[in-house]
Amino acid sequence: MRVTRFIREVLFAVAFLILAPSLASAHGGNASRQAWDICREAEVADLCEFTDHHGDLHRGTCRSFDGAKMCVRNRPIVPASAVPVMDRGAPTSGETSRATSRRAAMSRSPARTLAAVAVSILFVFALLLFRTPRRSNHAEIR
Amino acid sequence: MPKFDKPIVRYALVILTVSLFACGDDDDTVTDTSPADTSVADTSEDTSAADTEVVDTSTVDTGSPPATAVVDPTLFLVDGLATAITEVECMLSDGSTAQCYSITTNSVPSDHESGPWCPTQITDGPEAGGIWPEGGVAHDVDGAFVENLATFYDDPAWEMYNADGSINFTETAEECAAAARPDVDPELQNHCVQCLPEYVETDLQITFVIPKEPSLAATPQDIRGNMGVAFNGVEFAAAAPTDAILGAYTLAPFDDCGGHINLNAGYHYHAITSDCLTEVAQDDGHAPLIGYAMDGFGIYAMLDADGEEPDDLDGCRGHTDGVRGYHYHVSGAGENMIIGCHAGLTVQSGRPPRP
Repeated sequence: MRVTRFIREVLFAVAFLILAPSLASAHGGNASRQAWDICREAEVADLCEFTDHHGDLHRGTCRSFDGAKMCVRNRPIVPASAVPVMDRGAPTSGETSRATSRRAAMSRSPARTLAAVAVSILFVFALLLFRTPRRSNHAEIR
Repeated sequence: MPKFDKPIVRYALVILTVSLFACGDDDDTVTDTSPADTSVADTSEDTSAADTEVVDTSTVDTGSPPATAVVDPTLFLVDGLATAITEVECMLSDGSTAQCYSITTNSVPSDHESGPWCPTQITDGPEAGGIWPEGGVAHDVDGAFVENLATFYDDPAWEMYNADGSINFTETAEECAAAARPDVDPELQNHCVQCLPEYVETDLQITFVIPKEPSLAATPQDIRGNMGVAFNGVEFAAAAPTDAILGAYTLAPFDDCGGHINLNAGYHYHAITSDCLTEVAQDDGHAPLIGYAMDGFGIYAMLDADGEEPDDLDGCRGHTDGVRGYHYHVSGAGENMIIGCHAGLTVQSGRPPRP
């Protein structure tokens, strides 16, 4: 019983983790600015990626042009049909983007963490409200 | 441990635990240096799932220099040159001296027409305007595109056309200069910015000094100024500052060949489009050669004869093969970039400063 419950809890957690980051990272704006914006706080050579209006995924590294950094693609474009759901842009705003490095991850972590905590609290309360009655630990021991 | 039996605490602990693994994996998902990166030292060794530090994956491995093609000055179009190409001594970015080619051009494309850039009426078709890079796509700047800007950019402040359907665009050299500067004249917000060839001084000359025999640098070098030069003598320019351009509610379209005009630099490319540039075909189906970077390495079109893009490009958009040695491939016309950086040594001196 403990094992079953543990598996169920892990599945809940995984389901939550699939949903929460997409809520925290999806945002709008236009790609011309995003290509610059996502690398503004990053270091040269940090990895970056964004999805365009078609949902195609562009991946590359941040590069400096006369001192300003932007995301330069160096991988073939991944068609929307092959892009994992997690990396697809919001359907109307068109693009999502991120620069990936330790520093970039740290710089975005407060907002992401707050969002994750808020969703976590709601999620846990929802679980408590709708969970099915089960026996106590004492009953299981018997 | 009774306190962990409380559901809320237990769920939180499980989520936290799984989150730690998921967060570590976040960096890993985009840290996939291709095995074919033979000229790239992948120093981003994954030592910890939760503590991955991404480093420069395009650091050039100078331990095994590849075969490299030398610059061929005869490939440049005579009509694009202001003077004959000369060989000069130059100092490279690592402090060494080398032989370089000095290529002086008028910065006017001799193998294709330039413009148009801005449509004048919202009823104008794509033939009346150029292109605008957005989200990896080269959009036609026609009347409908201008009319739709507020929706396209989800910002009602875009009002580049008037009630009679006319489009605001820069109409003089003075307006071109005022709209092209970093602090755009407020009067010129919501204008399509175009600088016409006749605004440029007729005696404008641009000199490119590139190493005769390119060599890889220890680390990639940021782009400062020119990226390279096409065979027609036109500059491959750094990415256009589209964030600043859009921030002033302006557009500075490229023409259908990917270029536009700056009063100081003349005509220059920000994008590479098909069927415009003079190309040197490759016998093996490789993408054609279209020019040279400032470090002397060849710049090739994006796609090979089969329409495929290399999948092993480094951060500069370069890679190595047995025929051409190290070389670059340009990006798509809608990406506002040509190459990402210089993997080779560029000229430190010997090149006159840009006017």
